[in-house]
Amino acid sequence: MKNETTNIRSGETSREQADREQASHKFNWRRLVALVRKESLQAMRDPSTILIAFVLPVVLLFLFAYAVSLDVREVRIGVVLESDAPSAQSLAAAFAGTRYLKVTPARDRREVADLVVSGKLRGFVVIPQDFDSRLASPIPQPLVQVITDGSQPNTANFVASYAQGVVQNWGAGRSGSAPPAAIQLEPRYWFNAELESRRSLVPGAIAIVMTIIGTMLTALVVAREWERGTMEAVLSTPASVIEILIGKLMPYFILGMIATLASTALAIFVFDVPLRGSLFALLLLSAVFLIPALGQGLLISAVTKNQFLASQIALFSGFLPSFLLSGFLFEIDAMPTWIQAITYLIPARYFVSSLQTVFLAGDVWAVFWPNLAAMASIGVFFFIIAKRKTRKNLES
Amino acid sequence: MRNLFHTFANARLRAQIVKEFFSTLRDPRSRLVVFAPPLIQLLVFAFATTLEVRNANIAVYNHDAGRWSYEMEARVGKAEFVNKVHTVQSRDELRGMIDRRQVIAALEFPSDFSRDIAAARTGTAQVIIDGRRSNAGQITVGYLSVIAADVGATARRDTQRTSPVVVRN
Repeated sequence: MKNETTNIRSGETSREQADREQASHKFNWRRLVALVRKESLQAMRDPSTILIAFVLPVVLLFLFAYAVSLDVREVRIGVVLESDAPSAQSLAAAFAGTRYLKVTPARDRREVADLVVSGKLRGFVVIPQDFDSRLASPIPQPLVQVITDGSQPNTANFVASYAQGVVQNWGAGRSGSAPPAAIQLEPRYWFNAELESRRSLVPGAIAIVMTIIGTMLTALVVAREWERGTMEAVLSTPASVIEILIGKLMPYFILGMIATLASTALAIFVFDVPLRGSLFALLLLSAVFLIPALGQGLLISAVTKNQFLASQIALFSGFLPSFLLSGFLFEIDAMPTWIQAITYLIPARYFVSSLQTVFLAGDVWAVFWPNLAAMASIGVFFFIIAKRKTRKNLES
Repeated sequence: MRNLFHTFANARLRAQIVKEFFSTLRDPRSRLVVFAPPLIQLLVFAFATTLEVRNANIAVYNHDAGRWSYEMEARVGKAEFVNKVHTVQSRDELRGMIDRRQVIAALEFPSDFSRDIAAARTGTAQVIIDGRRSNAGQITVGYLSVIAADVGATARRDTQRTSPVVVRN
């Protein structure tokens, strides 16, 4: 293949070659339109493209909306009642009557300890034999013991603090003469008053879907063309590198935008996520996010030129970081500083934060502008390297 | 089982497996891709995938000139999960900080907060949480309530048990 190309080139006169070089540097709109048309047809005729662009987003959104839930509801705990005193029984009843805990009663802690070990319960509360005398003693003494499953720190915290609350409330309700709690906090959740984690997860999931379409699909499709040699056929035409790259990416840009609209419609009408910002802001954000996403895919394929490598690198550098380091599931503030520094390089980080804002809070341009600028500059950076790596000859 | 063993003992299959190994490991880039990412993933993602709340920024809007709101503010500032406490002077400023995601939660003390506590009534402070981060927000509220309970216990040292519960994780 290499030899053939050089042969054709050596057959030309120097004049012809210079003309061709000149032509290839000029940006020609007609040629670009033709290329875009050709690439669109090629993309639409490939059934796997349609599958990734339309079926995968729907499946992913459903998964994230229904399977992933960070809400704490009906946590199963055990209540071990070792004492028969009426006060102990009324405390056990207080535990059974709460909304967030689902209580398994027991008389012996060994019964429930095994259930905690096997993960059937998240923890248990022990009301000790001498509960009554502890309660009556003038020196403050611990009343109950709470054992939690520390392998899930979050749920463990919740069980501990909730159990504490139950005991305190019970104590306050029992001794009517005791003063009310000194300080009461009144939580108000802005933007998400019902506290449904689905509402912040679905906008984040749209960012993941867009990364898959933008980066993975582009990387795979273009790498496949390098593998099959069809890229060389396109390179041998007079079209310039920029025209070829834009032609290749245009269909995926449009696919990405259509997928955004479809995901948004799903989010609003099926998952009940409000869109408090404007559709214009949402589309602008998505369009700008596609620059780094497509640029990254293009860069990966240009460097690897091989589907296996491209898929691995796209997974590793595109999908996983946007899943784990974007603040979609895991709070960026809680990460160690050096990982926080890495998250600034991940375009999805800016997109997730903007999407959550545009869906739940509204058009807060103070959030959008820096995010848009960051996404655009990462994108331009990827494109510059990708263009350098895509040469019009096959010698490199 | 016997069949399976025969399949693996099959020289043709064995040769093919060996060949696939070589074809993956021959290319230096493939070698890199097979071995480097899992290591990096283990390092980076193990630290990144935490659901705890750390380094949180909290805004405080204090109308109260009394002792207990300052006590509460100071304890929040010292708390392990807090990175920085921003003092704000107006509702708009508070709103803006939450809108721009600069803080995850804001505490607002009414002007009669300390007076209520001193008069053995309940001092009510409002906590405004960024619901975009619903999970981290709920955990933050949990932490803040523990602090509030502590401050409350200090205020009512003689009348209330400090902590009636022993927790083991």
